[in-house]
Amino acid sequence: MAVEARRGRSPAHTARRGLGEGLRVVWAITAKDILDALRNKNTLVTMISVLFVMAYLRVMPVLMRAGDPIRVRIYDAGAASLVTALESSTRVNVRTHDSQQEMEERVGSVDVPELGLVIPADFEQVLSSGGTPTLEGYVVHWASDADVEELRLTVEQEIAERLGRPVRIDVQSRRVYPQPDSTGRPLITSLILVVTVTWIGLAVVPHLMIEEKETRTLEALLVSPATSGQVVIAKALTGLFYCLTAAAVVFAVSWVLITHWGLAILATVLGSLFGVSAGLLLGSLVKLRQQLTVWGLALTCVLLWPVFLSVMAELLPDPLAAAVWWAPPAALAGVLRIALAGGVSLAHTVPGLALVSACTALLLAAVTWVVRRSDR
Amino acid sequence: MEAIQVQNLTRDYNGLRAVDGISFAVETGEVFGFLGPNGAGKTTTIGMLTGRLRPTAGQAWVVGCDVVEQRQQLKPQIGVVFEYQNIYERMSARGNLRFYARLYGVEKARVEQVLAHVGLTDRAGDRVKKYSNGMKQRLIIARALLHRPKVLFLDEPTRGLDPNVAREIRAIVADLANQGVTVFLTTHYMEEADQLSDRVAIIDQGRIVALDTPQRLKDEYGEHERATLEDVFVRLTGRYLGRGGQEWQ
Repeated sequence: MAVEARRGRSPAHTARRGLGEGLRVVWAITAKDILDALRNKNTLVTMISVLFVMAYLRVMPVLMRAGDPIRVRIYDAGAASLVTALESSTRVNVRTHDSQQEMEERVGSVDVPELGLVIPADFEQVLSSGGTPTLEGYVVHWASDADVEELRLTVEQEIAERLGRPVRIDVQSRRVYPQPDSTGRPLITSLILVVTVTWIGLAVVPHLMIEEKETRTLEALLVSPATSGQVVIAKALTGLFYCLTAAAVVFAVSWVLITHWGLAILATVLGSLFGVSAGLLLGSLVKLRQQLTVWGLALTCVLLWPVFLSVMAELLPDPLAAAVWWAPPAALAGVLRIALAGGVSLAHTVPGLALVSACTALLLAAVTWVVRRSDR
Repeated sequence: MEAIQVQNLTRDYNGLRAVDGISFAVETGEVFGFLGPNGAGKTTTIGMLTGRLRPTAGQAWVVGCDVVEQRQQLKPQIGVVFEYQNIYERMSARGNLRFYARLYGVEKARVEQVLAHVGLTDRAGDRVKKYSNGMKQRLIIARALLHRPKVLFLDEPTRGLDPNVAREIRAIVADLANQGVTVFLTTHYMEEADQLSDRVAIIDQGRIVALDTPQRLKDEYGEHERATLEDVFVRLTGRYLGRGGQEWQ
């Protein structure tokens, strides 16, 4: 400080220079870790495992439905003979619903696009008067135009064959958005996102820290201009990079599902920060790789089980269902399901986002405390 | 001018005193040998002088920087060669040095200079994992020299190396000393300490038991005219070398 004063430099200049040097150090360690992680078999195994799980969850429902007849969900307002006619079809699989709302909810909760139909009360009258009845068709919002057209044409042909008369299915502007508690692709996608960012945060970050401890390169870092705080920040940024890269892959594969992009990105960044913070705390507390394997697995289970339990919250006793929500990844999954749903007030997301943010802040405070305590 | 000044430096570990109130000074450009049996407190002392360990009591200054209060200012002025080989083995030697060059804000050209200095230019692109122990040690010395430190701490730099590599490393240290770099050296090889050091301190059970030039130590503590530094060392620290654990002195 005295030297700076003699050189006529202001404290602000000194602080700026200190900040610049700090950023340079953090960036140097982060860049090294990002590149080095690609040569590390632990990181590679984690990333490949995550990609495999993502691919499995994404592809399996489609494979399981491959070759099945097209599913048509019908709300029949007038007890028409069409339903009976279609039930004997081998090209379409008919499911009937008691209300239009129920039909729309199911159409919005699918893995593979299905066609929802509303048969109007005057369907038989129009048919007997020689007219061409028009049916309202509903399709999930993320279905491609080609899929919608194929569904429409197939079902129109099948109905025409069954009734001996043409009908028209109008699917214009009748895209159905899932509800936050819907199943199907939005649910799977939200689970994949939560599992991905939590898992990578818990797997990659502690490994980066443990490796520096085990190889004792941490000591070389700490006699360099790097401080222990900067080392921890760099590890966090590396973890964040890998979490967000994996999340970007999920987004790229599932972009058609996302209805609220801002919310989806915010939730993913917060979820990544939470996963990375949990990983940092684990990496700060654990000293040996064997301990990390045990504690990492335990923490992964503790954090991710509530996510899966939250999916079947309706089946759980009320106190357990309420308790499950307090696990940050479960709250995050809830927020992401809203980001992938339609017609929902975004205000419903505030408690979940606040919980994840607060828990992340607590974890980071704990990491700071542990690092300062262990520093010298 | 003093490059290192130590006053009553003490460090406790879980109630055990590893370093017990040591005091000494090292002149700029001096090679200072710091000798002692295993567990005597050498590495702990280096830990405190390099700012990695906080002293329990006492004070120390390296290049004028208080090792506790001015730790960050101290870091760019010192180089450390640890007693173990702590380098990124999946990276190349050049990759390792470029990384540390970024940390220290050193120009890229300096990396090639230090690689040439330690004779690793030809293998600089290979992964360190494939290096012999000697090559790794030369790389660690290159890393310590990268930012042109004023004081170099060498913690047993030739341990476990074959005689040829050990000789090369001693030549590098002698060369640095000729360039005016202050060297703080710990070693178990008394001949090495005798050959390189301007002065030697012998530490035992956390306390300095002798400090002088190697010749004066031999004159004072040697039992005959041809006494070596090893004889002096054994005489001052070798209480438990007798059979059956009996005291030797």
